[in-house]
Order: sequence, then structure tokens, then C-alpha cells
Amino acid sequence: MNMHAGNEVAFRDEIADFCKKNLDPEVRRLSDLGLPVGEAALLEWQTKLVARGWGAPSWEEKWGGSGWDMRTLFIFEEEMAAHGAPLVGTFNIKMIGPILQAHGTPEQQAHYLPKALSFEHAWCQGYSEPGAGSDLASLQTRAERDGDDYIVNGTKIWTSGGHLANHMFCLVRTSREGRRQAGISFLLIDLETPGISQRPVHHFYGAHVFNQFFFDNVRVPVANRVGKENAGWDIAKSLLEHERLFSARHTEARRKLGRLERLSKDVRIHGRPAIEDPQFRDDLAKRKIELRALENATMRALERLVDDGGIGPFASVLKLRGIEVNQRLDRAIVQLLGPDALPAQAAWEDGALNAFVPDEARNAAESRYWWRGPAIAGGSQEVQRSIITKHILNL
Amino acid sequence: MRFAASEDEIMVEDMLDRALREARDRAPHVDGHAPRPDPDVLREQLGSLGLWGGWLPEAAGGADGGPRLLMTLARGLGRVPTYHGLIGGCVLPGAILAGTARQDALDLTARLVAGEMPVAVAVLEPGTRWDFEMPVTQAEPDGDGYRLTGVKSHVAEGATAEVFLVSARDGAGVSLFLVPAGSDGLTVSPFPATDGTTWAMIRAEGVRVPASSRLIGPDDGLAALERAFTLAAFAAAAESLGSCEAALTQTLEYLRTREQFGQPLATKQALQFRVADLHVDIEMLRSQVLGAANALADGYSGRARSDVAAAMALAVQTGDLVGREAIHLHGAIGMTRELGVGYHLLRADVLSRWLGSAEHFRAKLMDLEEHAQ
Ligand SMILES: Cc1cc2nc3c(=O)[nH]c(=O)nc-3n(C[C@H](O)[C@H](O)[C@H](O)COP(=O)(O)OP(=O)(O)OC[C@H]3O[C@@H](n4cnc5c(N)ncnc54)[C@H](O)[C@@H]3O)c2cc1C
Repeated sequence: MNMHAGNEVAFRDEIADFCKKNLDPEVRRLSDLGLPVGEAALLEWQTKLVARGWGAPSWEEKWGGSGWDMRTLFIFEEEMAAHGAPLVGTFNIKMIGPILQAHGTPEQQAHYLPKALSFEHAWCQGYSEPGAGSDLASLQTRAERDGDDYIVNGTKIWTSGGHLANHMFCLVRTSREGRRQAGISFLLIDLETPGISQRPVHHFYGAHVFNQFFFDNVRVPVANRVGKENAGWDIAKSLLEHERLFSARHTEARRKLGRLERLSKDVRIHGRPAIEDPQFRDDLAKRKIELRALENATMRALERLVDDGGIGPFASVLKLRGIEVNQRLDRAIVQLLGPDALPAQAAWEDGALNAFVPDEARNAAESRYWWRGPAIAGGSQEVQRSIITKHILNL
Repeated sequence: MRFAASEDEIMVEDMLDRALREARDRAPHVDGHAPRPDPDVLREQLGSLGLWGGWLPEAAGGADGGPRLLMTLARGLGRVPTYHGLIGGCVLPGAILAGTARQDALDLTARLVAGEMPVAVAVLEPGTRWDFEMPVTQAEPDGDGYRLTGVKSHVAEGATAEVFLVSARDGAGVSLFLVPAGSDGLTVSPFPATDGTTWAMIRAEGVRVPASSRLIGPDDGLAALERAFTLAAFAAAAESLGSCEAALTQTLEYLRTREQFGQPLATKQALQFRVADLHVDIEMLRSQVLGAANALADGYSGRARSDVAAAMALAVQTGDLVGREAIHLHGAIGMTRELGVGYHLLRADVLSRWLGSAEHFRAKLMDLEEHAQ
């Protein structure tokens, strides 16, 4: 299906309807508050999506994809988020799936794609290392040939969701000759393989997202290499622009704005609803205006995507501002809540807090802390600025 | 409606660029000033091309180009420092005159479209900033006409206008009167503004006008003003967008060529990141101006008005920032009139002093959204 003004409304309604019928209200509530919904709920939701043919809409149809154009895909994501659907399986659906379809062998595709779709496999991304962050090409984890296997040694860090995963797609060094980028290969590693150990790395406010993995003479079949030896860099790069467009996060910001507006009627400043306070109103107007501009910018990007097939470095503009808009909204919510933003996530578990603090306060502070991360990951804000300088401003 | 420029719009941009170049070539050179297009030549050119008032409806002598054409025009003019007079001489009076069906109003509109500036809108009053809802200027019935008394401040294009559109309290409402510049009891005091444009203060002491001079009556006066000033703010936001684009382009060119410490300034990351952030701000302004243009083209709705308020709030903020940074990143030469990059800050300031601060437009947006609910 391709989107035009005539059927867009109907498509949006169809998604809204699907969410209303299939989404557990508790799951919706949690995702509206920006909270994780739990592994069991994610699996259940993905199973429903797969049954509806929506489990991996961006994939080729023969692997369970939808055949939609980019615009339709974008509207799908936007509408899903707007109705409180949890974000499912980024690594499975948005990363390893497209990579295998573009670069995998028929055997790799037949083995891995159905399991990625059903969530039998849970993937994580092993790119970063303690010494290789923004300068990813300096990575040191090495894979040496031994017959039909590679022997992998080294360490990967900041692996999001690694503790929930059973497979990792990984960048490893297979050559020290020539350009650093030209000595990197792309490997698929079963995390049950002997020689792998891991430890959790907690976020500063306590959440467990990150992990570190250690590889000690781990045998990985050469058949698990995607693409040619030393061609891993380009495979990893091919995803980035797409990833940045879809991480403009205007939908999350819209949700936060709704929360801020609801709170502004309940929270009082000097005895009057905050919405009547001139200082607060001016701040709220700033947040509204910058989000509106971001939404218009996102629609412009979408138009270009349809016209030209890509948006190039404009994706960096969207990522940079999309994250800032989210961060400022989080800050505004916490500031408005004042002392009600004190209780930590754990304080909400038994429900007693609800008698004292509005539900809208839940996860407000943690969301602010969590949103420091996207500014560092996926090419930090500074990396985006460098892309803009080089590829748009031609300095 | 699409965001990308249509083929027609790209053609208009080219025509505009040519007209600006020609008007610059025909302007006399003044020592110590950056060369600028001659405004009279420019208006005449744009009038004869049908661009100056092309945004007006066909019934009013325009080409039905609407907000998208107005945006293209104002943005293009913003890119080149010149005293164009579009907003005060064409947008404000055009929006009001075109809303009436009177022959004398349409005759004036036809002259606007041709690039003349016969009419100036006299609405602001001393000490009331941008609140034009409660004028002190009074229209008192006098025989078969009215007597007008009051002071109007900061009238754009007022120094050269033949006729003023004056707002005055009229019974329970606000009416708009056409008052010839030479009327008995009317004093016009021209003054220069900080960007080099010429304005006027106006004092009416019992100025006698016939009943027919009441162009818009007390029930409709405020709505007509609201509409005209919304369109003016939209044009100002588009002009600011063009101004920001030009200031950044000129700054980037300088960073590429200016060398210090043996290297072009463009190689310094501290400076690169500053211009990258300006680029992001300008992209957001562009997106919002386009969004407002498309909303206005769909009709003069509450949503369109709040989109204009959002666009102008961003324009004031971004124009100010880009204007300051453009000067700073040039070093001392940025301070000079001869280089002229400082014009963009002067213009950003004048547009905001005249039509409203960022805070003003943010408050407007909040009010419009609340009333929409
Ligand atoms: C929430 C989160 C999730 C992540 N998930 C994963 C994952 O699942 N898998 C994975 O492999 N990795 C993951 N990462 C790691 C991520 O890719 C890196 O954090 C990122 O590449 C930056 O590297 P670094 O943290 O080592 O910072 P560094 O590169 O050391 O940078 C430190 C600071 O210096 C700045 N800086 C660096 N270089 C320059 C420069 N040239 N000019 C100007 N400033 C510069 C950076 O912007 C940053 O502010 C995640 C990170 C975060 C925060």
C-alpha cells in the first residue's frame, strides 16, 4: 500500500482501532509514561503484530514485511506511538533484519529472519568498546581465522539490553592493514557459545540497560560472517541515516507535552493553576513552538524521502533538535512537579504513593535521566554537528 | 499541501533575484556603505512583474498567489539588505483594503499592486506597545462626517504616504478611516528607525473627514486589524528567514577564507559547532514558516493564526541570535557598515519592536490555543 491524502486518514484510524482492541490498558499506561513494559508483554504484543502482518513492516514481504513505502512506514510508527504501543524489538526488527536482507546469505536469511521476527532470538548490538566510542573504527576486539572458525578475543561495552539477549551482531577486527575501517568484519555471535562472560553496568540513576561482554577464545563459525571479510564497516554504516530519521522522536515529545499540559491544570503556583502563571505560560509556549517546528521539519523530511528516496544529512538536524526538544520537555515536567518528582521508580510499586502524588509524576525524573543517553548514543550531538558542518555547510 | 518549493515558486525566486540585482546595479554608490538595491527601482520592477502584490486576490488586482507567494517574496527580500517597504507599504494596507468592496479602496489597491506606496496604516499609539484593541484616538460624529483626535505612533511608510488608514474609537467599537495626508489638523513627523528606514509619528487634532471616509465600521475594525497584523507577522517571519539565511551564508564564506594561526577559521571546531547550531535553528524556522504558509493557504483559521504566532516567535528569537553571531564570527569587520552584515541584526530588531516580541507572540499562541478548545 502507498500513502496518499485520501487513504491516510483511514490508515491512521485502522491503527488506532487495532491498538484499542489489542493493547492491554496497563501496557498502554506504562508506555504513555515512558516506562518499560516488561519482556512478557513485549512478546505478547509482537505476536499480535505478527498475526496482523505488522510484525516487521519495513522488511521484504517474503520475510513477513508489509511492502509499504517509507511514508506509510513513518505514519505507522507515528500512529503506534501516539496510541501507546510499546516500541518493539529495535535490534531485531530495525537493525539485524534489514542488514541480513541486504547483505546476508540465503542460508543466513532463512535461519535468522523468522526467529528475529518471532522474538525466539533476541539480538543486541556489539559495536562499542572501552577504547572505541565516537571513533568506532579504532575498535580492537579481534577475530582470527582457524579453519572454518574465527577465534574472537576482546570486550564490548554499553551493550543495551545485552542481559535480555541471546544473540549479538558484532563488529570485529580481522585485519590491521590499510585503513582502519577496511579491517573490520560483521559477525553474528550466539551468546551461549563457551568463552563469553558478561557483567551489568548500571545507569547513574540505577536502571539496568548497559552490559559489558568479554570474549575469551570464543569460536564463531565463518558461516556467521555477514558480507565479505573486512567489509563490516560499510554494512554497519548503511543503517545510520535511516536510524536517525526514525529517531527524531517527535511522537515521544508530543506525549510529554500532553503530560505537561495536564499537569499544568492541576499543579498550583502561588495558589493558582500553573497554566495561569505568566512565567510558566511563556515556558510552555516555548516548548509548544519548538515541537511544532520539529513536527513540520519531520513532515518536510518525509516529503523529501518520498521525492528523493533519502534525506541525507538533514537526518542529523532532526536528531540533534529532536533530542533537545525531548530533554527540555522532561526538564519542564520535573520543574513543574517540584517535590512530586522526588519519589524513585521503586516507590510506586505498591500503589500507596498514588494517594499523595499524581500518577503523571511517575517516571518523570527517570525519563529526564534516561534522555541524557540518546544525546551520546547513535552518533553524539557533537558527531551530528560535525556532519552538518562537513556535509551541509561545507566548511 | 507540500513543503518543497513548486516550479512556479522557483521561477519567482529567480525573477526576484534578477530584480534585486538590477536595482542594485542602478543604485548610486555611497562611500562607506555596502551596495544596496535602490528601493524605488526595485518596487517598480516587482510591480511590473506582478510580484509585489501578486499575493492579493484577483478581485483586488493581485494574482491570487496567496501566502506561499507572499512568503517567497518576503523571504527573497530578506536575503538582500534593502529598504523595501513590503510590510508597511503593501501587506498591511493591502490586507485591509482588499477586504472591502469599495471602489476607492480598490483603486488604491491597484496602485499598491503596481509597486506604489500611497497608503500607510496608523494604528499603534504611544505607551501601549502592541495592544491595538483599545485606541485612545477618538472619532466623534460631526454633522455628516467625523472629527478625529489622537496620536498615532510608529507609522511604517508614513513619511511618504498620501493617505493614512487610521484606527479610532467609534462608539463601542473601533473603526478604520481613510485620512488624506494633507488634511487640516493632521501633523506628520517623519523619523528614521535604527535600520535606516523612515517612519512617522502622526497627530490628529480635530481632523474633519466625511462619512464616506469610514472604510470599516466599528463592528469589523478590530477583526480587520487582527487579520492584517497576522499577515504582517507572517511576512516578517518569512523576511527574517531570508535574512538569517543570508547572514549565515555570508558568515560561512568568511570562515572559509579568513585565516588565523595559519589555518582558515572554518577548521576550528568551536566555530563549526556554533554555525551548525545556527543552521539547525534556521531549519526549524524554515519548517515553521512553511507550516504557517500552508495553514494560512487553507484558510484564516485559529490554527493558522497560532502557526503564524509560532513562526514569528521563532523568527524573533532566531533572527536575534543569527544576527548577533554573524557579527561576532566576523570579528571587527563584522562591526562595520561597509561590510554590512550587521544589517540583519538591525532588521531583526526593527521587525520585533514593530510587530511584537517573542514573548508577545508566545502569549498570543497560548491564548489562541485556549480559545480553540
Ligand atoms: C543509552 C546508550 C545506549 C547505547 N547502546 C549501545 C549498544 O547497544 N551497542 C553499542 O555498541 N554501543 C552502545 N552505546 C555506545 C555508544 O555508541 C557510544 O556511547 C558512542 O559512540 C560515544 O562513545 P563514548 O561513549 O565512548 O564517548 P566518546 O567518544 O569518548 O565521547 C565523549 C564526549 O566527547 C565528545 N566527542 C567525541 N569525539 C569528538 C569530536 N571529534 N569532536 C567533538 N566532540 C567529541 C562526545 O560527543 C562526548 O560528549 C550506547 C550508548 C548510550 C549512551
